[in-house]
Amino acid sequence: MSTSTTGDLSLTVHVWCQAGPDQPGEFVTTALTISPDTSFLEMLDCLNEQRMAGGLEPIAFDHDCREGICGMCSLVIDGKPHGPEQETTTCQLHMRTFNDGDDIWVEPFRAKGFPILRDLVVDRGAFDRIQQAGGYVSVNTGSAPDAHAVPVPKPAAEEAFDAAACIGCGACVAACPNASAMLFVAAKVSQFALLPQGAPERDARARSMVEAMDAEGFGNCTNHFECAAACPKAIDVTHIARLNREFLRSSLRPRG
Amino acid sequence: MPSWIGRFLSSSVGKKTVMAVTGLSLVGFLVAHLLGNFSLYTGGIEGFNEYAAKLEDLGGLLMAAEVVLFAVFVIHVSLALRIVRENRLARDEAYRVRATMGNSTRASRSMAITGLVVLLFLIVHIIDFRVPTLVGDMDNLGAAVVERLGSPVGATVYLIGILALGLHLRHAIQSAFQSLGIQHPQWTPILRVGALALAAALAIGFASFPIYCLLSQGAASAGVN
Repeated sequence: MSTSTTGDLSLTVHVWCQAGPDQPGEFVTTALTISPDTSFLEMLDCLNEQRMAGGLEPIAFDHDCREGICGMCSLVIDGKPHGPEQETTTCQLHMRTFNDGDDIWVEPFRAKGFPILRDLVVDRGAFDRIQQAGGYVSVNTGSAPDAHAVPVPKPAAEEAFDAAACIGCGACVAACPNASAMLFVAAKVSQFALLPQGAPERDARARSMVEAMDAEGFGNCTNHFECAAACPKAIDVTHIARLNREFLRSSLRPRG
Repeated sequence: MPSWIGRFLSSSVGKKTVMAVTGLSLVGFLVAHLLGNFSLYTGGIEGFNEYAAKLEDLGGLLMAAEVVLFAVFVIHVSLALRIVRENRLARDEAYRVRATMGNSTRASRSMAITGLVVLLFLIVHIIDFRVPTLVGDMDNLGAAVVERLGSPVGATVYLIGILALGLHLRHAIQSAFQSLGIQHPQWTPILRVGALALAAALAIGFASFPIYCLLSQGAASAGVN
């Protein structure tokens, strides 16, 4: 570890450690001195270096792009998915958000649909399976269509784009008191429901995706709206209302 | 039952749709119930008895309405129990450190508890005023109401029940519109305010009765009449 410089934070970090699925877990406490300019994940990197220097195994956590667009990072920090900042993924969270002397509690996303693999890593494969159930459009290959061949009203394009901002991180599930995945599914359904490109599969999409969601063991939405507050991409619950409408419509259509 | 209906009803979104429809129907009943109760204010105990007699005169129609109401209530409660159980199972291991994100409310988080209190209260309420042997003179229901709600114990029981109902409705009414997918950029904010106002009006309206009876009983026993 580098020697502490002025302005560094002395922190006590409690991180959830769990050897594997269905194993008992516990918090492991580490005292750490860190620059406020480091990101949260860099702080965990430093914590792991410190652990390894002491002959301990590093703590497993998910990360990839570290620029807030891939949806790979997770963590519940001090009781909040992606930590205390609004519209911020864990990788974009910086230690300057915390104060010298703070205790920081780091837990994995907890939901039956997201089983813990190890330490802070959870399996979010359920989202892939839901997506495969209907979160796509069928496009014939060939030359690229003319950009203006399909008219899309500006407000619909904007709203579809808001929904398409979903990075599938699962913070909505982690924040929901019922561990419901409705905001994720809503974003994926909404994104296509508003666009002509999504029309061919519209009748089956909401139904198939909701059925896939239910099969994964996520809870039922009871409109707490905690998901929207936790979403790093600020996806609104109006998309859930649209999913409810789309599901009703989709259920009333004959099954093909 | 066609399979698509079964699949719809057992899906998470379908269950919420049924909760919303049955819940809003029960709100409709509460509005009618409260308006009926106002006959105590407009016509005193006699006015209330006349209103009760008019309801009884409906005979079979009243019976049919009660059966439908009971069925709606049973569906609402049994589905709620199922949803609560499933939602508990959906997070098999609890967070050790939990913070609210700020969007949930005390009312939204306590729906199961307030619902349960309302259910218990409702059982007491029905025993109080729908069991002829306990009411005594069914033709003078108004007097029984004033006596029961005017006693300190009765007033407390009713106020607790109504408080739970108010909290339940505070989340329930506006939540029902969301569950049904009724969402509009201009209308939803107005609808939300309307839903909260209706919840408050129902709670205050119902709460006024034990308070009124308590005060009038107090005045009567003090000999002021």
